[in-house]
Amino acid sequence: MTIINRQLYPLQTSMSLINKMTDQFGTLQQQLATGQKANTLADMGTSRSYDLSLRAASSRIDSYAGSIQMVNTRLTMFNTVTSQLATIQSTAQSAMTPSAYGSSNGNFGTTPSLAYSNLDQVVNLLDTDVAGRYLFSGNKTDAVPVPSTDELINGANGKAGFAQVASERQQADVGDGMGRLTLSSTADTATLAEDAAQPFGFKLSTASTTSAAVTLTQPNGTAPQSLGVQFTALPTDGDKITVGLTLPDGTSDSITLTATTGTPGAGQFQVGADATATAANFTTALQSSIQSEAGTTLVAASNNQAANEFFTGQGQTQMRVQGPNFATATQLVAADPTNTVTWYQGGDSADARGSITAKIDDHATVQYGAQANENGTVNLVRALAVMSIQNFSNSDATSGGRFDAIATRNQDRLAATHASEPGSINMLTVELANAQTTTSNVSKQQTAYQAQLTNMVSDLETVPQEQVATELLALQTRLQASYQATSLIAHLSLVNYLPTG
Amino acid sequence: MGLSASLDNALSGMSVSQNALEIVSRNVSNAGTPGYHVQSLSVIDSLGAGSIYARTGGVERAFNSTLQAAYTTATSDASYASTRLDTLNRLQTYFGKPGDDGSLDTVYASFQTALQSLSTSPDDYATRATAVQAAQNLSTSLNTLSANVQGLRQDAETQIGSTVKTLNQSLQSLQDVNSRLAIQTNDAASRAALEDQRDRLVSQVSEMVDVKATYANDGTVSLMTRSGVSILDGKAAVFNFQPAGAMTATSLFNIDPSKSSVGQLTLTSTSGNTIDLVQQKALQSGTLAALVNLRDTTLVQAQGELDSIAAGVSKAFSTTQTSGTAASAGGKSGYSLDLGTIRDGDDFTLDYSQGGTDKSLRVINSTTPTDYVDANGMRVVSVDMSGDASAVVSKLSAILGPSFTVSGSGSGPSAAITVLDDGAAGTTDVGSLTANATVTGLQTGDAAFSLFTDNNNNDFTGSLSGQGQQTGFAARIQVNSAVQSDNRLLVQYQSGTSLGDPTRANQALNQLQGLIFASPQSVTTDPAATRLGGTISGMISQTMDDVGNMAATASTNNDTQSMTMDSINQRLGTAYGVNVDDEMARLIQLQNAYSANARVISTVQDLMNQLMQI
Repeated sequence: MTIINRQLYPLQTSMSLINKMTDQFGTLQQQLATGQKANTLADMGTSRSYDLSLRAASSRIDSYAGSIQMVNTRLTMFNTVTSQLATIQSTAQSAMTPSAYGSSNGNFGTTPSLAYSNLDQVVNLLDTDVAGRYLFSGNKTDAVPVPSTDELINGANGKAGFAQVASERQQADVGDGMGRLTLSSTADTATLAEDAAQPFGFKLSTASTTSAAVTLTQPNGTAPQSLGVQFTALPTDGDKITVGLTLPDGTSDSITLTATTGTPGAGQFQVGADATATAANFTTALQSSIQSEAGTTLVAASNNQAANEFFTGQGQTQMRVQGPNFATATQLVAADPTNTVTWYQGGDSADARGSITAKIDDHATVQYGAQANENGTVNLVRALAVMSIQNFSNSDATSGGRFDAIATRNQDRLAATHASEPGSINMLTVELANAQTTTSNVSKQQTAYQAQLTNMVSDLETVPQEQVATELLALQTRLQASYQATSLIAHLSLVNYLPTG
Repeated sequence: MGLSASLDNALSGMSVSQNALEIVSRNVSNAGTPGYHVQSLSVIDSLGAGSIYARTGGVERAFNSTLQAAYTTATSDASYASTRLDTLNRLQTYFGKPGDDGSLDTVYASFQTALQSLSTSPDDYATRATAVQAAQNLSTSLNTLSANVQGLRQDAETQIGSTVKTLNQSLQSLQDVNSRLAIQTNDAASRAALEDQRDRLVSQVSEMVDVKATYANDGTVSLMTRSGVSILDGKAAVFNFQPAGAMTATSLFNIDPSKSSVGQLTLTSTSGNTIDLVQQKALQSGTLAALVNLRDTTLVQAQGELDSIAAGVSKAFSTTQTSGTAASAGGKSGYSLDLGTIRDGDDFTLDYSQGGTDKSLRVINSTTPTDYVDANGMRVVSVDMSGDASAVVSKLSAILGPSFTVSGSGSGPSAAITVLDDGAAGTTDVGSLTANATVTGLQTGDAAFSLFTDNNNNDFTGSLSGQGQQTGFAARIQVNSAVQSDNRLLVQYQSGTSLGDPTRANQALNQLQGLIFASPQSVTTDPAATRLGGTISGMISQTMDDVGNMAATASTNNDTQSMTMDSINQRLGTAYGVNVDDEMARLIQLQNAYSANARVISTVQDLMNQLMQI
């Protein structure tokens, strides 16, 4: 710096230098006040593009954080709901024990109403929503998954509920009281046959005997099947003939008749004078046994199957008996949604969990969809619905038999052995808990990463106060020196030393 | 020799001293006048009859033509740099700093956040409304930035107009000064004043246009631009500026004046010829050159970057990618692709390898021919796909060469092509064949949809026709009015689909993060112009970085130029400046000389008196 030169132009130059220093002074003051290193894009220099990419990464994490928080709220709600469902499941199972009629058959009245109220709870849980979003609707989160319990059971607006659909199925299965079987005896042969090729009622499966006097014709497997019992001689006392039956819900039943020479009781037939008389006796005894089964076990199996067809699982179509004249119906048809309550109105996907996914990181996705029609929940609903439409009374002789048959089936439906099957309430709980663990892990990683990013951004953008203060002091000194020097030189002119006057 | 000679000498000395005093007083009084050149008196001793006396030789004005030339150049360059800096500083203020409210990266980040929320809660009305709002913010930001850039171009245009006016006045004055200097009869002092005026005018002109000044012996000056166009030679040439009115992104300079839609800057030379200064690239430095450069290159480039971002954002939503189906024939394998959905401006991409080198080709459906390599290293060509598939086949065959088999069938909506490799020879391979088509309609069952549209809610396909749909798209981009009135369209890709279905939001997020875009061939002729490439977030970063970089470079240039100016000023000061100390010292000297001469006269007087008293 040629500040010592006494010329005027150098003074101007030093003035411009002083101006620059003043500007710098202003910049430093601003930095000190705002803590920001730069005010413009240009000032940011080479850190500009780095800063931009850090900020982009940081804002992406912010948006993921929003998603994670939302997903977490939903998963927490899921957690509550699934644990309540599990409680109801175990309560329901223990409430329905075969032969547990209670004192004076008190449970005849209470069990169905308890099942109804349990069903009500389950439906309420399945209809849980978080801020208008239904948790058990698969990907149709804006649709209420399950209608109210009353609508489900009793129907509404001209649509048939489960009670009606089950009753139609029951009529179709029981038929004229023989479970859609016909029984005849001709000479020494009793013939039991299915009334037509149709899916209802008892289906013949096997026939067996301990007697050498009996020749059996086994069902041939082609519907309608028939089964023949021919008495080639007289059976001896205690000989057994067993007819195996398949029930509408796939369970098996058998009727065993024992030959007796005395007065026949239930499950016995009297050996007659000859084969023809014995066949007639056998036919009478068989008819009575079939009618008894048709009033109890068949009804339970029918209701159970109706529940399977009404409360459809994933990918299944709701079916109904073609009718009226249900007692002679020969066909099941797909239910018409305009006259049948659709029990599940959410999205139906084979992969329920995958129906809802949330991207919670660039490379992490959680699946947390749930559908009310998954195995676990649908079986719980079926079991409770079947029990809740029952009407047991002491005056009805079939009550005990039906109670036992239904209780056995429900126990089986809700047994702990199903817990490890896909879609069970247990598996749902586990899978959603896994999703929550994943989100919480990702969230922790992101929080740590976000902290680092924030640090880096602040390193790039903020300015250390001490450094600015020091620079400010140094600049102040330089500026003061320059002022002093400039003013000194300005005064250093011959004009000031010329004699006046 | 005699007393009279002494008297003569003393008298001449006194008169020289008086002249010198006049000059000293002029120097001192003009010590602070800008552009004043220090003057000095040349004194000649001349041999008179029996005496040698001092005579005033004339007033000399300090002048150094080399220094003057350096000064003229530096003035042009400094004003070029400062004009650029002013505008670019304004531009970077519009863009804001990363993370500032309303800066492009912040707006885009919040748009992404809104989409992320949308994918988690598509069934929530408020979330959808927020997403639409964020989309509007993004389009408004682009609109505003685009308007700002065009505003700066408009300012440049206006400034060119006013600069041309000042320039013509200065040149006219300079012509007057020249004509007065040419008259030799003027006295020395007024000539010096005219020359000062001349130099002031020259530096004024050089601020606006880069000129080379040539000084003639008579003191007149002639000016020509550095590129050699004569501006002043006896008579002044006239600059004309024909403004083009309002500036929009589509107002671009064109070498062909009939296609150019910006103001035209011409020069009518002394001989009456008119030349287009911009077209001839006659201006290299100075305010005018800076303004023209900003208007036609720098700001156009900034607009191009905004347009690329707008196009990318729009295409990320509306593009549906369809992969070709595997095809083979006679041991050769490759892919087949239907071209039917590819609209004007859409394209298909072909990844292939030839001799071990992986190559990519993008074929745009357009009647406008194009062929360039984009910022991502992909070759881009265009072909008209509206007719027969054979047009595409012949184009591809020409590019790919004989080691590929290209065949096609059908025309228009049923057109399809098949590209096969060379089979057993194994030197070539077809990697993929993908159509990138813009969807038509909002609920066609396709997750893609036109969230952002052009004017009048038209779909943006990036058509190359005319100036290209992308030119100025940042100014026109808007959120589809159908989506604004019914935000369920953000979710329902088919009428009646569940509002809980996040497919559409997820697809948008994936494409925003995954699709790679590249600026089209630059609208400016500048080969060094930045061209963007990458994901949208990357392009936004590049744009902001580029703007910052331009401003920083302009600032550095300006600093350098002002340093140069400072040092030249300092030298000018030493050479031309008035040093008051020197002048004072001379004053004392002259005072002494005057007193001494007076003493000589009084002594001669005494001697004469004594002689008379004899």
